[in-house]
Amino acid sequence: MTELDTPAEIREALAMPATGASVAAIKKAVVRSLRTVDPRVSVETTDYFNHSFAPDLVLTWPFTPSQPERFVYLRFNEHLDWISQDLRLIEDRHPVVYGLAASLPDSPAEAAELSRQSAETQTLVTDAASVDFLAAEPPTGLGGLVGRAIIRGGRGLLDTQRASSVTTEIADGFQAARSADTARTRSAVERAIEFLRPSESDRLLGFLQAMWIGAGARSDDFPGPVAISQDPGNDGLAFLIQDEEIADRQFWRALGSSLSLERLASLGLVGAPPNLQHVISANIDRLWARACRVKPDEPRLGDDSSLLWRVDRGLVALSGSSFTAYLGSTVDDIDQIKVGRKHNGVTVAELRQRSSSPVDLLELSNGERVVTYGSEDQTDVASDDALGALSDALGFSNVRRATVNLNDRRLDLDFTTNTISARTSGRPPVSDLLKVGLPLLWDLNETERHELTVLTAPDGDQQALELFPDEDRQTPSSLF
Amino acid sequence: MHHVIPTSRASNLATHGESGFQLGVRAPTHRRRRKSEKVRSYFVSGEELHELGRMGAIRAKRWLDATTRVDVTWVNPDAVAKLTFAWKDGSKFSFDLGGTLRGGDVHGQEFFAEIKKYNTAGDQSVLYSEYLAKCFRAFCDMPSRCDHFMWLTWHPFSQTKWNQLCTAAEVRAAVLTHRAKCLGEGDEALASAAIDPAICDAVAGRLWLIVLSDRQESLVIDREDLELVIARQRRRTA
Repeated sequence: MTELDTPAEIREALAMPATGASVAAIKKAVVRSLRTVDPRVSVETTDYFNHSFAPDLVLTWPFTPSQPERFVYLRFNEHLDWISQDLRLIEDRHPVVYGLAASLPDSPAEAAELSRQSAETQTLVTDAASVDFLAAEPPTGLGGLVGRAIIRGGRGLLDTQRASSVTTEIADGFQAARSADTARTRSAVERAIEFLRPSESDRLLGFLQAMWIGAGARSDDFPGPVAISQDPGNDGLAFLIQDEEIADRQFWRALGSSLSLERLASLGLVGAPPNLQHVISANIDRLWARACRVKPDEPRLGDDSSLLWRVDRGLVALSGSSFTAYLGSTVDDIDQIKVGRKHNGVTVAELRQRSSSPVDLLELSNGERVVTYGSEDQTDVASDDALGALSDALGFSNVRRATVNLNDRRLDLDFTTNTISARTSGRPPVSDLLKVGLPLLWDLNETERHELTVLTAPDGDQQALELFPDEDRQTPSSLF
Repeated sequence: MHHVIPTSRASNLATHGESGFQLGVRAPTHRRRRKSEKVRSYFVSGEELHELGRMGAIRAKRWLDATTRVDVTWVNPDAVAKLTFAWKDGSKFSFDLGGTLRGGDVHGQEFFAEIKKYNTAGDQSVLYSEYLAKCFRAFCDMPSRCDHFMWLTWHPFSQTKWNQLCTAAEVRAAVLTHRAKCLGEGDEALASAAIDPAICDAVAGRLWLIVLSDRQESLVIDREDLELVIARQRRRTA
């Protein structure tokens, strides 16, 4: 919980004699309050202050490019009817009007009018104390999620009293949806619709609905309009993934239609939460990547030998007993992953042992001379007797690079940098990239090989494999 | 509480019904004076007068902001402390608006403005003299914030000496008239000797006299183009 006293900071700033210093200090306090509510928001501070038309601040959400920018106008809010008049000049931008006085004045008639006007124009009118109230909500809690939704897409007049009731009721609605409690969920739905612009309330309703369905209730019984997108938004998705485990494949599959590795990586997830395993596993054929780099890890001891999805260094990664495989949509994405000194590659014998897919081209090197060995008809060359002879002829030699074909896509494997890259402008599913590339690039143990097979199997096959696992291996369901 | 306002003063303040920038500014209700209301019209509440003054200040702010060369930052009474100075006798006075100019040679320079939303000349000649004394006092107190002083009115006044209103002589005369508050000196001869002509020159060089009209308020850059200018200004300072 963050203790802010933005109204006091603003008062102190206003007492500064120099205009520039005064304005800068006011804006600094306001930016801090907004960024405490939503640490992921990027704030542009303009050089205007209290201008009739130009914004004081511009909010953008770099990790959510689809989220439009939102202007913030700072206003002295001693008279609500004056704010009302001002609103007409700026309402077409659906901004946030941030009152600099400690709180909005208590004048019921004018408040009702301003409330109606600001709600109609999708504008949020609030004040420093109310934003501080939102900032005091723990960011990882449901209240924090509501606060961020309000800054992104809040509307209407939000004083501290309303900030409190809206946050409480919507946050309570999430708990209610989790236990399919109709009355409390409905109340949250109504509050969300009242205080959020349609785009934002859709997202929140999508989240509520996801919780509702996750609780085992029927979507038809959801006490509110069916969310258009059924996408809970980044905040909602992050919350769902970090929240209690929902072991329902269909649930996660339904959420995955607009999922991408970049989106998952931008959610600010920590570690390898169980629901991250579910959401990736259920959508592995939809998620795509063109590059993968495998970084050696210290061998993990004990039961940590299973494959786990995690978010690390801003990338989605699959970690095993002695490695982490980082995925990216381009090679540039994974460039930050350093694998240490360049390897010499793998021996032909090692390659043959690992290979389960046809290798149609490879590059052998003895450190001085390089031989490229390939097939004209894209058949496997790794098992050729001639390859062994060629390797022997070169003396001590290693395979440094190889090319594999899968579903008409060519994967280039670089054993010296532990990198897989897909030679395509298409969107190869993560499942293809890993199924073929990872076992060749890295010496997986038996458990990991099986898990990878389960993980990358088509949906129907995956369930079958989960139903009939080898007795000696961990059951797939226990992996996640 | 109602204050008795001289009729001339109250009636000089513009009433609404004027197009006024077409920005939906709410103006006080205009009522035609009926016989039965004759007595009441002598009494304009402080709050109403305050609202009238505020309306003028806001309209001036919008027009100035719309020029794209002015950022009106402070509006009385919202940020009254930023607009307030002290007379020599310790009493306070404040301007209606304050802010900074943008672009060209005046970029970043600060100004204070007095706004008169009048529909007659009214008592502006008297108030203008007091305003010049205020400018003198403010400049003496805080020259760093007093780059420009603007008198912005909707009706001209003192037409017989219009071209002299922004001269050092006029500033000097105003200071002399208001010598007790401005200089802390009641004696005219002593006050006259105490007035620094360099300061009168400096203040005169900072004076702007702007006459607006209701229709002119609407003759500003249109909203779409204004947004382009603002976007460009934002990029320049980003």
